[in-house]
Amino acid sequence: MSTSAPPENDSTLPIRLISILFIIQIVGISLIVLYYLSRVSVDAWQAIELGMAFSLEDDSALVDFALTLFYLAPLTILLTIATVGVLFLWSGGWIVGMLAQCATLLICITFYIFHPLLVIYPLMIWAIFMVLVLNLNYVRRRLLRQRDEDQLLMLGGTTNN
Amino acid sequence: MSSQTTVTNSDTAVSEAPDQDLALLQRFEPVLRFTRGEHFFPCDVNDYVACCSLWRQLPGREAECLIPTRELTLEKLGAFSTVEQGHSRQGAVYFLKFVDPLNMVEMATHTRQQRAVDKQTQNVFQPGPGRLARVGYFSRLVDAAFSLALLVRGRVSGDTSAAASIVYEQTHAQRPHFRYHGRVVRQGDWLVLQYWFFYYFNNWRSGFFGANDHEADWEMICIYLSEDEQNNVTPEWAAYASHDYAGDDLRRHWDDPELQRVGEHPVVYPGAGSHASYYTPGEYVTELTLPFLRPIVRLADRLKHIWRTKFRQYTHINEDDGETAHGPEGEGFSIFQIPFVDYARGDGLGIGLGENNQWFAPVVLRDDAPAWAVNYRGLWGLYTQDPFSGEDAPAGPMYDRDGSVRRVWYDPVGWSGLDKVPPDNKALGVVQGQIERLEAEQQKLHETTAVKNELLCGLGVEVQAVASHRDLRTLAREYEEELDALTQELNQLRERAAHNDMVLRALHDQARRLKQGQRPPLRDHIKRAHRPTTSAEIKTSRIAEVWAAASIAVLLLGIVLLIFFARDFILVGMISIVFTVSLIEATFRRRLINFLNNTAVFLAIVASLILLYEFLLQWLVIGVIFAGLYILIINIRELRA
Repeated sequence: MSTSAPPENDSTLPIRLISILFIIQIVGISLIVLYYLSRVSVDAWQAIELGMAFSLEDDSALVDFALTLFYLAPLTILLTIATVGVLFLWSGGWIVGMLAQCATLLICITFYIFHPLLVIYPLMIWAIFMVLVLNLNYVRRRLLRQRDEDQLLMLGGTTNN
Repeated sequence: MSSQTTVTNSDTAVSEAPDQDLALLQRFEPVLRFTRGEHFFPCDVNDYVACCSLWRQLPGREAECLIPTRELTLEKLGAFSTVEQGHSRQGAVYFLKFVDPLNMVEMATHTRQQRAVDKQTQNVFQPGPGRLARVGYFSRLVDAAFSLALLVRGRVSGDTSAAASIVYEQTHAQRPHFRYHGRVVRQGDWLVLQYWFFYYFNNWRSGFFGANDHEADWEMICIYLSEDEQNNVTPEWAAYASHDYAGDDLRRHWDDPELQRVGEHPVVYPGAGSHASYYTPGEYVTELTLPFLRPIVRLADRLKHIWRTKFRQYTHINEDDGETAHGPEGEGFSIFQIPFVDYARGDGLGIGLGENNQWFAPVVLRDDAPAWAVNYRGLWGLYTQDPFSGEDAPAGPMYDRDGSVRRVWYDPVGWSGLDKVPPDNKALGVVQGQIERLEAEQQKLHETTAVKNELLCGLGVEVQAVASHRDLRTLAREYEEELDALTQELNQLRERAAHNDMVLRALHDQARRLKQGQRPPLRDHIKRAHRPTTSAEIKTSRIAEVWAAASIAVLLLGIVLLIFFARDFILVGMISIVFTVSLIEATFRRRLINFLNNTAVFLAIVASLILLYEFLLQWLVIGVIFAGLYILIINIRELRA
């Protein structure tokens, strides 16, 4: 029995659809940050505005918000670049996308160890799913084809399209 | 051509009388092109054995000498009873001992003289860019452990290599000769010529930064000939033994451009010190798996296969990427395998047609002899008791180290995967035979299908008739089950027939091509060709080489500093060091994308484990719910039916 892979579909639509997955991740992260923002009490904001001595330990919601804003919000920039990159089938889109997933997972694991928040779990699941999607042979081949071919030719091998 | 000489030993005298086997062996005898710096060349076993003593090692006891040096001959070795020496007898291991190591003064003198001679004869080995710079960081870590293990495990000392070199040169000066041991085997439709090369010593480690040193070395190549009715022979394939590899990847078609030839003589490039045989000159990265790591390597390969095929995930080397720079074993580099460079440059001494040195008449190993090959199952050199076996001498041409018969001896065709390939002159016949067999099967299938189809129609009508009667509901159900089973059987028969049709079409095409004189592709059988490292791969910067040499030390130093100065952050510190070192490594090796990919996969695995740990109960509940729903759906379906 032949076990060869089915012929690849030439349509780029499935690849471009990955950008929607990135957008979902951006929306998810934004909602997480907004959720923690909504939990910060008015007193805490007033205290900051008035320049009063304020200990972060006084308001754990503010700490959560600060941490999510500081660590998670920058991810949206990476994810936006990845969205555009994948939409236009740039190899850079795959690289930035994978970098964003690495950063997401690293941040989630760090949160898990030092400051456990419930929201990190759905984010973890989504990032794992995204790693599996981006690492699909088909996706990699379509997005990194040129790079892989160059690398393979440099090694003296043959390309197989 | 070979110069005929008289070999005095009775066992080897068989080659004096010219016969068909000898003529065949000489007609296709290979050309060997060695690497500069090589000091051991193929020769007669007779001289070697004369310099050896025979020993027995019993477990937990001192080795005892059975026959001292100068008294041992091939006849005595051949007469050595297999019952007497059986490996099973109290776990005894029989071995030859060739030379004693040199002392420091002798070693220094020899080294100085050898350098001068090598310089004069331009037989100087220039190592290429460090092997460590060509392979990954984790492989280097395993390699460091392997090197450290040499301090405690059994090994052949570097001084022994020098002593062996002196003895070889002395015997070679007394009776200069280059000789191989030839064997002609008929197996199935193939006539196999085996060329066995015996070397006094394998100095791969001490001479060429390789994996091991050992006394005595047996290497081999096979040439596969087809015979026509007039007994004319045509060479069709060649297979060169390389380390412990076997199978299709070793084999090259006679017309494959990779197989270099001088007329009818194939060219072999033996690895420097290791004497493994290669088709093209170059530097080969060879991976060796430590025996105790083999289960882990197998498990890792299996997981990688599942990862690639079931999850359709990317791995560094995908199946359809074809040839790889690495060994045939495993899938690309494995972190559990130790890489070594085998230098087979072919820029040194040459033996054979068109070279400066010619073969002497070969020693023909016939089916019924020689006794030393058949009867002596022990090792042909020092038994170092190395647990990894790399430093123990090999057994003779017929046996493995454990005393079992080598596959290449009893099944040379299967050893290179040629047992599924007919010779060119029989290929059309085999294809036509297969067509006939399949056509007969098709005929039978069509007849059976017609009968079953008639039965099915009848049963279908019966089911229709019974179903219209309410009181026959139970019977109807039984009939339906029977109907389903018959339908399924018929489907399978039709599927098989359709499959056979496709195969038949392909076979007819192949028969047509063969009739037109076309041949199947020459290299389709090769999955993982062992090819030399390309110049682009060798071209590593000096900084990368220095880094490769220093990286393990940097890692160990970092860990020591952490222990002394930041013990509280040892885990985070170690992860950071490994990450930084790996990042530098990936940058030097231009593998940043792979590094990114691997890091993401690693983090995903860690995150998955965290999720599993944190929500084990929930995952179980979800699993049970799914199982319950599945069973419920099946039951409802049955109820509705």
